[in-house]
Order: sequence, then C-alpha cells, then structure tokens
Amino acid sequence: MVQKLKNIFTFSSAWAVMLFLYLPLFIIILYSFNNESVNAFPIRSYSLKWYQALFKDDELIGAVFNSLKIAFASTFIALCIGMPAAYAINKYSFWGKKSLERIILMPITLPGIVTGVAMLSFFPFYGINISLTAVLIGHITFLCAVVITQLLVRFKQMDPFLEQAAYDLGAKPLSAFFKVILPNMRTAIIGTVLLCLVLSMDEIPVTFFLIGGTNTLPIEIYGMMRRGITPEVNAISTFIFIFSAIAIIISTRTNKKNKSAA
Amino acid sequence: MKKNRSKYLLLAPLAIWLLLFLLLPYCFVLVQSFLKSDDFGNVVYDVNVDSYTKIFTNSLYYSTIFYTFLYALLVAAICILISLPLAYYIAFKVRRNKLLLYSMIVLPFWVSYIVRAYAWKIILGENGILNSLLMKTGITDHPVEQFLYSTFSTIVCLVYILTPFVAIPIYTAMEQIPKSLVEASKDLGAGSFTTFRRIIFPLALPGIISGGTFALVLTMGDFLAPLLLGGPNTLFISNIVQNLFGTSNDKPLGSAVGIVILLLILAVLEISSHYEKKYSSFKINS
Amino acid sequence: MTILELQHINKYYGNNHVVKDLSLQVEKGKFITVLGPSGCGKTTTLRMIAGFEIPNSGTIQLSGKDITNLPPYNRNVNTVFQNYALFPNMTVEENVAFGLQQKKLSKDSIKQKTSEMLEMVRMGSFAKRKPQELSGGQQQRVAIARAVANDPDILLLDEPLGALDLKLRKQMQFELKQLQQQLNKTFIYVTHDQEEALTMSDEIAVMNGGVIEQLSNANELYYHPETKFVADFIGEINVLPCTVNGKVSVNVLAKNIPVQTNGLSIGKNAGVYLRPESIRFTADTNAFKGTVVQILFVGMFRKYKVDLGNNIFVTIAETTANASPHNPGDEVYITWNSEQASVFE
Repeated sequence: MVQKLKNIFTFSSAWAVMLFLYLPLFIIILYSFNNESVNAFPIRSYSLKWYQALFKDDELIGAVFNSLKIAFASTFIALCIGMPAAYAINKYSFWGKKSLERIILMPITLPGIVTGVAMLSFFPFYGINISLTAVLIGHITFLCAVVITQLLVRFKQMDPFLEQAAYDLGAKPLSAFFKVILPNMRTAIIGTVLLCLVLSMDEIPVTFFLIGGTNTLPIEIYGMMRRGITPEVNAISTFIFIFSAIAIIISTRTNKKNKSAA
Repeated sequence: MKKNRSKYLLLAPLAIWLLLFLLLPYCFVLVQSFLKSDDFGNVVYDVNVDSYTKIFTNSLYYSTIFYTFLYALLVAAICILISLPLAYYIAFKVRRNKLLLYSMIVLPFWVSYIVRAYAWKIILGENGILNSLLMKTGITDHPVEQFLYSTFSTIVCLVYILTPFVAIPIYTAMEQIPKSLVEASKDLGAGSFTTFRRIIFPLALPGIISGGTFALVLTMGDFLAPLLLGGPNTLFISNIVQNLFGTSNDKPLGSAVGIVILLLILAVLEISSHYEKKYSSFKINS
Repeated sequence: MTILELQHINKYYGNNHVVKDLSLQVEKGKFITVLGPSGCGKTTTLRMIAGFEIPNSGTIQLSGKDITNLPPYNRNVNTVFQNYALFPNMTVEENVAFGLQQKKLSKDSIKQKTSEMLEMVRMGSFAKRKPQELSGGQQQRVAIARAVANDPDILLLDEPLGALDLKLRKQMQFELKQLQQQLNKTFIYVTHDQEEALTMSDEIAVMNGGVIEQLSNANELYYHPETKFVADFIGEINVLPCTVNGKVSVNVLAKNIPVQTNGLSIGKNAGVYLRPESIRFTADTNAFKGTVVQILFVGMFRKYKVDLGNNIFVTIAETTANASPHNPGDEVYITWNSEQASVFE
C-alpha cells in the first residue's frame, strides 16, 4: 500500500515535470491557429491566417534563408576543420594537447555574450565589420567545438585495431580513412551535422553582436517580440518545433541503429 | 618522421582558426578592459584600472553581479529539484519506452531558445493565457502584473530553458548505476527513500553537480531572458555588458565586466569539476 | 631457410624499456610461439614485426629485405588481431576481399580468392553476413581468412583465441595447427597461455622483461629449462633447497646428488628444479625418505604430496592407470632422473 503510494508520487511528479516541459510548446502550436491577435484564453475561433501572413512576410523569409545559408556553410566548414583535428587529438599525443582541448571548449563553456563582444571588438582589425560574414565566422568557431567534442567521443569508442587492420591489409592512410574509419563514423557524423545545423539556426548570443543589417531567423523573431506580441511568431515557432522534432528523431534513430549494430 | 608532419597538418587548420578568431579576440577583451573610452565611445590607448575600480565601488556593478549569482544558484537549485524525480522515474521505474522518454527530455533542448522564451511570454503576459484564465475563473478581476516583466517570469523562463541541460546528465548518471545495487539495498532492508538517499543520490552526484553547473553558468551568461521577460528593474550582469557594448558604448568597462564574469564562471567550473571528480570516485564500474 | 630476422631490437615507451636487445631468427614454414606474462614485451615485438611500432634501434629483415621502418601497408605480413578487428561496415566477404582490393587485383581474381579463403575456413555460407551477426568462433575464422587471403610471408597472431571459451579454444588450436601445415606458412603466435604454446608450436620463445629467456621446442622447454623464470613459468615444478659443492654435484638434505650446476660457484645456496613427473618412488632405501601427506586424483595423473622433513615438500605425479601403491601416512623412498633436473640460484 505504502509502496503503491510512493510509486504514484514518483509517477505523478515525473509527469508533472514532463508537462512543464511540453505544455508551453503545445500552447504555442495551439495559439498559432488562433483567429485573434490576442493570446487570450479560451480560443474563440481558429484560422490559418497567421500562417498566411508568414508566407507574405518577406523579411521573415529572408531571415530564414540567411539562417539556412549560415547554418549549412558553418556546419560544412566546421566539419572540415574539426574532423581531422578530432582524429589527430584521439590518435596522437603532442605538445600542448591539454591546452588545445581546453581552448576548443571555450566557446561552449564560456558565455556566448563574452565570445560575442570579443569578436565584435576584434574582428574589425581584420577588416571584418558586423555582417553575415562575421556571423559565419562566429558560428564556425563555436561549431568546431561541437564537432570535435561529438566526434571525439565516437573516435574514442572506435576500435583502434580497425585502422591498424586496414593498414595491415595494405591500405594506405587515406584509403583506410575513407574505407574503414569514415563508414564507421557515419552515424556520428549525421548526428553531429544535425546538431550543428540546429545550434546554428538557434544561435543568438554571438549572432546578436555580430549581425549587421540583415537578420538571421532567431534575431528576426527577437525583433518581432520586441515590437510586441504578434501571433505570426506562434506560426513560425510551430514550424521550428516541427523541424527540431524531425531532427532529433533522425538523430536518435541513426544512433539506435548504430548501437544495435555494435 | 613522416608521422609527425601529418599530425600537425591535421591540427593546423583548427589551431590557426582558433588563434585568429577565438584566442586573439579573447586576449583583446582582456587588453581592452585596461583601456578607457573617450566621450564619443572611442577606445583610447591609455592603460589604467578605472573600469575595475568602478565595478568594485559602484553598487550598480557589484550588486548586480552578486544578485545574478544568487539568481543563478536559485535557477540551478530548482532545475536540480525538478530533474531528480524525472530522471529517477525514467532510469528506475520505466522498463519499456525508455528511449522514447529520454528523447522527450532531449527534444526541448533542440527547440530554439527564442521559441521557448516566447512561449512564456504568451503564457505569463499581461494579456496572456494565465491572466485571462485567472480572470475567467474569477480568481482575480484584473491582470496580475507580477507575472510578466518581472524577475519571477525571468526565473521561470530560465528554469524552463535549462531543465533539459540538468536532467540529461542526472539521468545519464542514474542510468549507469547498476540495478543490482538498488536490489542489494532493498535486500538489506532499506526502503525506497533510504535507497534513494543512501545509494542513488550519492552515486548520481557527479551528474547532479555537472547539471547544476550548466544551469549556473548558463544563467550567469544569459542576457536574453531578462531582456524578453524581465521588467525595467530586472537587470542581470550580462545585460550590463550588452548595454555597455551597445547604447552606453563604453567598451573598456564592458570588457572589464565581461572579464569579471569570465573569472567567476571559471572559478565555478573549477570548483564543480573538483567536486565532480571527488564524488565520482564512488563509481564502481563503467 | 631464415624468413625473418630480428637483430638487437630495442623499444622504449618513454622511460620504459619494453624490449631489450632482442634478436630472433625464424625459419620458413615454422609455427613459432612467443610466450610470456602480460607486460613482457611479446605483443610489442609482434607489433614491430607488423609495422605498428618502430623499434628505437635494431633491424628487422623479412626474406632478406630490411623492413624495420616500412609502414604496415608496405610489408608482406598480416595480422590476426586479438579482438579480430573485423570491419563492421562490411560483410564477411568484403572483409576478406579488402586486402586483395588494396593490391588492385582484378575483380574476378578477388572474387575467386575470397570464396576460396572462405571455403578454407568453412565460412562460405556466411559470405553475405555482417561480422556482428557471427559468433566469436566464426568471427575468428573470418579474421584468419582475411589475413591469409593476402598471401603473407608471415602470419602474425596476437592472442587470437583469448576471447573464446575453453572448448572452442581447444578446437581452434587444432584447426590453426592444421591450417598452418596445410598452407605451409610461417606463423608467429603470441600468447600468455602456456598450454596453447606447448600444443601448437614447433618452437617457443619464452619472453620475460623484454628479453627472450629461452627459444626451444616444447619438450626441451619443459624438461630442460635454461633459466629459473622458464622453470617457474611453465608447468608445475618442485624446488629442493641445495648447496652447490661441485661442477656437477649439489648437496640436498645431506646427500650428494650428481647434476649440472650451470657454473654456480661452490658453496652457493641454490635450488634443484624438478617436474612432478620426473620424480618416482623407489625401493632403494638409500634414496630420500619421506611421508605421503596427501593424494590428489587429477584425471590422467595422481599427485602425491610427500613430506621430506625440514619443511620440504615435493609433489610427485604418477599415472592413474595402475592402482595407487601408497596411502597417506605411508613411509616412502623417492628418486629422480638427474638428466631432468636443473639447478638455479
């Protein structure tokens, strides 16, 4: 009897927290179909007008494209810089390795605002003023940290003998990398790319300081919120929620598949 | 020594990138914090410690730092408190669909910060859902103003945003605890609560500490939640940095405040990693 | 004909001197086992032959060619790894074909050779499977097929049976030996399991502390250990305290016994090392007198623990084919073949 009560307590408190995590998101989705421009309770009538408004808002659509461009470009470049480095960090020991690992983590352990103002203050010395270019560089820098931490975990899990077996069977380093290491990193790379895309699409603290005249999506939404509540934000938020959900489903699926294969 | 060359070749792009776009900017902030700005906001190369003196003598700065730290502790504490039952439930009570429930904690983490902050704006707003609900049910007849544009709403929002950051490491730590330990504890006559207090909690402590540290550090660096949900009197230390680099245009002072935040955060990280290591010596396997 | 020659190999990991001035010659077509406790440098030696490690000094010659500094992909030796290291992203067939593809052979000959190899290890019907769908023993076979497919001058095996259970291990020992004879290839096998070494090898190199203590066949190693370490490490052995009193004589329990003393100086306290099988009961009352303390039945052998007095006990092994001639408490006389006794400090 007492045990049962305890179980009910655990169960209900856990689900109360779950509700706390999800209710606000569902409210956004629900209110994106609200016909009125005030988010009052209860909803009197439903419509799709905020979605229609969304597709007519050129600035918002422009911001979505800016964000997509930045996200794909910064993810790709961060992968190109980060993957070889993660490979080397896992495999070799070298002078200053510990410090390098600490420096790599700085953009994710230290607050974005400090990174943002640091870049804002110093980039002009390179002739880079606030602009999407500056944002791109900022994003690449913190995504390198994400790429390296994510891939390093997988490199560490990977059997070091696989690479040696490839060499042993006559494969040269590049061939061993592309035929043995890379295929075995596939799921980790997919997961990392998705995470990078989402993080870049969402990034505010660094972007906030480096952005020029053209906005990225979160900055545009921030602007809309500052101007007052517009239910259009409900609609765009619903889209963002759906894309995030798809991203995480793909990421857990590939991860699960990989785990059952290992 | 071909091997050596190839490893430096692999590391070079990263090293150069980090030097140019991360280390030098950080160093420059440090340098800038010892400079001063003229009446037009231009940085003047005149080495002094005025900015630091200001931070430690003007209550606007030191008390904001102090209060931000307190709020951050509060946010971390609440996050831990609500993450514990959730993590415990998933780790020990759920048999099927464990992965699904775990993904459910992770999902909000993937949803945009701005969207999650916005959700609380429409819930807690003056004309928001909570107020209209309270008026409808007759609990109150005029909008309650404490909800939005207050420190309260800021803290609710931060707790909401940071809970997944705290719940994930706590769950991971609990999941690693061998189920046989829980069974052994029960076998030796301990009840559920005693088992939680004496076995699960101490073994999950490294996860709790690292989750709490995330919440603490991220709150100290946050300037958006106070900006979006806080009132005119809600001022976190990062808002001051933001203002000093924006409207107030005193970059040296902004840099100095930034450096102070950094040092504070580094201290927190150092202390928490010390305790994380200390308590993870309890770990039996894995 | 010598196929592999290691000369004065030294290897350091930091300040740790793991392989010390090691020299070894391997005859073509032989099954050589490197046996030793963990940390003795045996795996490091193997990895230097494979090319995963480069010695700090010394040379390695394969078929008369210096390969000391060649990368692994440029030397014609292949390895069967302890954990098999099968590529999880490839099927069994693709794993076996991998090395042949690196050699840029024609598609047809790769296909033919691959299926030939898989048939050889009786894995032909598993060609399309992924390695993780196979049992440990099956993975082991694929790993062997993959390594042999490249037609290496030497096949290196790094504790390949370590992960298998006892019964499968015995079976694989037999199969490996058979395969080696059938292929007429040189195998270098690393293990810490002495039974494995004794059953399969033509020659065994016992390693300890980075040096080879003894290189000889199983029988020599067992009955004529050259060092105290080898005597202790292999099998069970009795040690009788003695005093050296001549070039070919020691004093044990106030009796002079003729035995080679390996140049130990006269008057030195040493030990006579004897296998339980080398000691036997005798009717000669001039021999050593003792009391049977305990009798253990261990299948093929019956083991007697005999108290010789002065706190000296010996274990004697006799075949169980006959009924036991003694009971605990019996007074007995024992003797041994001094050919099979060794003296070490």
